[in-house]
Amino acid sequence: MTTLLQIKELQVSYGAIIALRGISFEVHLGQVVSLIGANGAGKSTTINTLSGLIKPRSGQVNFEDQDITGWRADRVTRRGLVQVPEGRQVIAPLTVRENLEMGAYLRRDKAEIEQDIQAVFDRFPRLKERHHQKAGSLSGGEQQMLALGRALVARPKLVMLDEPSMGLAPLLVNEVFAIIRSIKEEGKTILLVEQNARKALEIADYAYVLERGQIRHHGPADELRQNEAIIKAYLG
Amino acid sequence: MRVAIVIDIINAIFEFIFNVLNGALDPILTQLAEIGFREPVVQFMLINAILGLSIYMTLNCGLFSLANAGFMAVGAYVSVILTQKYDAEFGLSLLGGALAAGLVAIPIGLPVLRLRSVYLAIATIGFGEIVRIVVLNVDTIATDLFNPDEPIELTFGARGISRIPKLTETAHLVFFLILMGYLLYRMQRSRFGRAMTAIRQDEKVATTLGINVVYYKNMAFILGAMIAGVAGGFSGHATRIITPKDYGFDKAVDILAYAVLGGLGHWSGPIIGGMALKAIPERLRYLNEYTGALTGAVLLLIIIYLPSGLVSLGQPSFWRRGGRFEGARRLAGIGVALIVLTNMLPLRNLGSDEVLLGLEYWHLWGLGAGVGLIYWITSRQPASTGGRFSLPMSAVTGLLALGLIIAGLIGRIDQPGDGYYVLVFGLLLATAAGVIPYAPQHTETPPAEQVEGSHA
Amino acid sequence: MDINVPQQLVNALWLGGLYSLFALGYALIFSVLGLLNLSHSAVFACGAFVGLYTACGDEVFTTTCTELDRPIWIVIPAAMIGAGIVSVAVDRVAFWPLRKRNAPRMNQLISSIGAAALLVNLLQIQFGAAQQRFPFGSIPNDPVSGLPVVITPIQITALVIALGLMFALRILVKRTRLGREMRTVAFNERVASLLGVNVDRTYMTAFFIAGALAGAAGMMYGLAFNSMTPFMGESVSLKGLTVIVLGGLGSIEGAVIGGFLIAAIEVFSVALGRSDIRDAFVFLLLFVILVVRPRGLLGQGVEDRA
Ligand SMILES: Nc1ncnc2c1ncn2[C@@H]1O[C@H](COP(=O)(O)OP(=O)(O)OP(=O)(O)O)[C@@H](O)[C@H]1O
Ligand SMILES: [Mg+2]
Repeated sequence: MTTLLQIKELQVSYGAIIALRGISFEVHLGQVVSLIGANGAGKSTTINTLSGLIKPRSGQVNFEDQDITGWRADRVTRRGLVQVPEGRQVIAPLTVRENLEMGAYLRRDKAEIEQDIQAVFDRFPRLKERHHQKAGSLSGGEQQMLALGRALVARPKLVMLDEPSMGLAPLLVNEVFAIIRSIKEEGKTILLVEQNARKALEIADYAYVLERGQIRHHGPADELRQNEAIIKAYLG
Repeated sequence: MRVAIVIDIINAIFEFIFNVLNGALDPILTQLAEIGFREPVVQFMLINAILGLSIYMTLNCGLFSLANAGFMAVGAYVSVILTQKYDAEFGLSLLGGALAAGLVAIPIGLPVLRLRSVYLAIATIGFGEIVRIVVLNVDTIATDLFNPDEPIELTFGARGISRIPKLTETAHLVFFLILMGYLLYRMQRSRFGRAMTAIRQDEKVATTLGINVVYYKNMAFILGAMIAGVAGGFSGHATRIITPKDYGFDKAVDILAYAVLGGLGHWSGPIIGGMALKAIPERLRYLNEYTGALTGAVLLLIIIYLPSGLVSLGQPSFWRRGGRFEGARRLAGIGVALIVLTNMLPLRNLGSDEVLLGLEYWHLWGLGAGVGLIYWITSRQPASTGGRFSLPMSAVTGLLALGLIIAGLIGRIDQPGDGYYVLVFGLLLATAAGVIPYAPQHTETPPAEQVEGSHA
Repeated sequence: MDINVPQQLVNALWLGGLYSLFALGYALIFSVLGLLNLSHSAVFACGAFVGLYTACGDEVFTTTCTELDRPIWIVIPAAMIGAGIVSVAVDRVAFWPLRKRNAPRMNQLISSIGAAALLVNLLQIQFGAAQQRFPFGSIPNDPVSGLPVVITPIQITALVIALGLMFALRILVKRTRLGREMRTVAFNERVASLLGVNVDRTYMTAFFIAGALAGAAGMMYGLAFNSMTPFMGESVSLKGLTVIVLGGLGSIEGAVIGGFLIAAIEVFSVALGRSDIRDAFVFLLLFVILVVRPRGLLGQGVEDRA
C-alpha cells in the first residue's frame, strides 16, 4: 500500500494556546481515513495545518514523499491536497456555475473541466437546476453539495472534508454520506473529519480519535466500532 | 443680585484653580520650550488631545464617524462670533459653541447613525464638507435671502474671521482635559459606559440585552460633537484667524488618526495620539521640506508596527505576545527605520558637522546597525517565526541588517541629493525588515464578517 | 438664464469620463479589499508626474518642461505603468502587513492616509510644489473645427480612452478567470487560497490595475488642464468617493454612471452661475443618497464593511 500523506509529530499553537500536541498519522492511497473527536479537539486545526492555512510550530507533513510543511495554502492545493472547509464555505456572490469553475481554478484543460462540471451536475441534479443562481441563496444542504462538487472539479489526489454533515437535517446527513461513499467507490482518497462518529466509522477504512490535541485511539474502523471506550464516549 | 453673586463666586473659584494650575505649569512649560515645544505648540497638542477624546466618544460606541471636524468648525465659529461680536465671556462662548455643535448633531445623528462602518464614515465626511461649504457661503446666502441694507458679514467667507482675541490659556486646556479625563474614567465604569461597550462589541446582542441602541449611539454622537465644539472654541481663540478650510476633510481624517495612532483600547490613547501627531511634525520641523514625508512615514510605521496604537507600549501583553521578543522586535523595526531616516534626510540641508538630537552621524548609523543586529538575533527565535523557518528568515533579516549598515555608511557621503536616494533605499529596507518576520506566521481566524457572508 | 446645453453636456461627458476612470480604481480596491484607499488620489498625481517625466526628462526636477524629449502620446502608457507600480508598492508597504495580521479596516484607512501623505510629499520634494505643465503647443488643444460644440482633440482622446478602459475593466471583472479570482478573494481570502488562488498575487494585480486606471485619469486630467501639481489629487479625492457612493460602493457600472452624474452636476451648476455652492450640491446628494439608499444607485445588498 502506498502512503499518500504522512504526518509526523505535528504541533500547533495559537499564541499561548496549544491546539495540537504532536500528532502523527498516515493516509494510504485509496483509503478513507476518518479523524473523529469532540468539539475543540483540534480536528479543524489539523486539516487547516495540512492545507497550509496555519503554520505548525514543529513537525512534518509529507505528501507523496515530498515535504510540504509550511507551504502556502494555494501551493498545497496545487499539489493535489484539497480541503472542503467547515461550514460550507461556498462563494456567496458567485453563481453555482462560477463556483464550480473556481474549483477548477488551477486547471487549464477547458474541455475536460466542462466534462467534470457536467459530471457534478449529473451527480447533483439540484445544482444543475440552479446553476445560474447565486451560491449564497442556496439552502444549507445544497451549499454542502456545491462545496463537495467544487472540490471534485479540482481533481484532487486527496480530499479533506471538514464536518460535511455539520448543521444538516438527518435525512440530508444520510445523503451527504451516500455521496462520500460514492466518491470513495471511485477510488478517491479521503480524509474525513467528523463529529458524527457513528457515520464516520461506517464509511471509513481507518480512524484516529483526537482528544485535546492528541491521538487517543486509532485502528481499523471496524475495530474501533467494537472498542468499549469509544462506544462509551462517542457512540453512546 | 443673587445670580450676580453666584457668578462672582464661580469666577473666583475658576480663577483660583487657574492660578494654581498656572503655577504648576510654568516650570513644565519652560522645560518644554527648551526642547523645542513652545507654548502655542503645547496648546495645540492639548487641543488635539481634546479632539482625540471627542472621536473616542463615538469610536468607543462602535461608530466610525468622521464628523468631528465639522462640529469643531461649528464650535469655533459660534464661540468666536460670540466673543468678538457680542463680547461674551470666554467660558460662555465655549459653552455656546459646544451647545451649537450638540444641537447640530441631533438632526444629523438621527438619520445617519443607522448607517454602518464605511457608509457612516462617508456620510459624515459629506456632513463635514457641507458644514465647510455653508460656513464659506453663509454670508452671501444670508445677504441674498434677507436683502438688508448692508451685506451681512458673519463668517467672512474664505477670508475667515481675523483678529480674534487670544483668550485660550494653557491652564484652561489642562483643566478641561483633566475634567474630561475624569468624567470619561467614571463613565467607563458606569451603566452608560458598559452599554456603549456592549454596543461596540455586538449591536444585535446589545439589543437583546435590552439596551436602547439608538439612544446610546445618539448620545455618544452628541457628546462627541460637544467636545469637538469645545475644542473648536479653544482652537479659534488660540489662533488669531479661522478659515473654513481649517476644518475640511484633512482635519477630519487627522482626528481619526489621533485615535488610531494612540490606540482605541483605552481612553488615554486618543489623547496621546493627538499630542503625538502635533509633536512629531513639530519635532521634525528642522527637516524643512521633508517634514511632511517623514510624518507620513512615521504614521505608517506606527500603524504597521504598533497595530493597537501607542498605548499598547504600556501594556505588558504587548511585550509578551507571540514570543519573548515580539514587542522588542517591533520597536526595533520602528527604531531602525527612524534612525535610518533621520540619519539620511538632513544631508541635503545640513553640513556633515551638524548633529541630530545631540548625536553625530556616526553614532546614529552605529546605533542603526546595532539595533539591526539585535533585530536579527531576536528574529531568529524559532517560536516567533514558526520553527523551521528560522534559518532562511534569519538569513534574510541578517542581510537586511547588513543593508542598513551599508545605508548608514553611504549616508556619510554628504553630496547634496544623495540623501534622497538613500532615504528611499533605507525606508524600503527598514519596512521590509520589519514586515518579513510576519510572513511565516499563521493567518488564522477568518474575520467574523466573512463567516457571516457564507450564510448571506 | 442662458445655457448652451449641448456644450455643457459635452463638457460633462469628457470630465465625467475622467472622474469615472479615477473612481473605478477606488471601486475596484473597495470591492476586492472592502477598503477605502485614500492614497488613490496620490497615485493619481504620481501617474501624471511619471508621464511628465517620461516625456520631458530630467528638466522637470529643476525647472519646468520647455521641450519634449519624447512624443506626447507616450505619457499615457507611461503614467499607467508608473502609477500601477506605485500602487502595488503602496499595497506592499501600507496594506499588506496589516492584512497579514487581520488588522481592523480602520487601521488600513489610516495607513492609506500615511501613504498618501508620504507620496504627495515625495512628489513635492522631487518636482517642487509649483505648477508643472507641458510646453505650449505640445498638446493638441485647439478645438476641433466643424462641430457645433467646442471640444479639443485631447478631450476627445480622454473620453475615448476612459470609455475603452472602463469597458476593458468590465470584461475583465465579469468574464475572465482573473475577475472570478478577484471576486473570490474579495469574498473570502481563506476559501480563495484553498482553491489554489495565490491571494497576494491577486491583490497585487488588483492594485496594479487600480493604479493604472488612476494614472491614466491623472495624466489625462493633467493634459486636459495642462497643469500638474503634487496636490492635484486633492481636488478629485472626495469627488471620487462621492462617485462610488453614488453608484454603489464597489460597483463598477455604478462608478461609471456616478462619475458622469457628478460631472454633470458640477458643469451645470457652474454654468448656472452657482459655482460657489456646487460642491454643496454634490455633498448634499452624497448625504441624501446615503441616508435614503445607502447601497447607492446600482449597488446590491449592503454588507458590513469598513
Ligand atoms: N484562531 C484561533 N485562535 C485561538 N484558538 C483557537 C483558534 N482556532 C481554534 N482554536 C482553539 O484550538 C482548539 C482546537 O480547535 P479546532 O477548531 O481545531 O477544534 P475542532 O476539533 O475542529 O472542533 P469543532 O468540532 O468544534 O469544529 C480549540 O480549543 C480552539 O479553542
Ligand atoms: Mg472544527
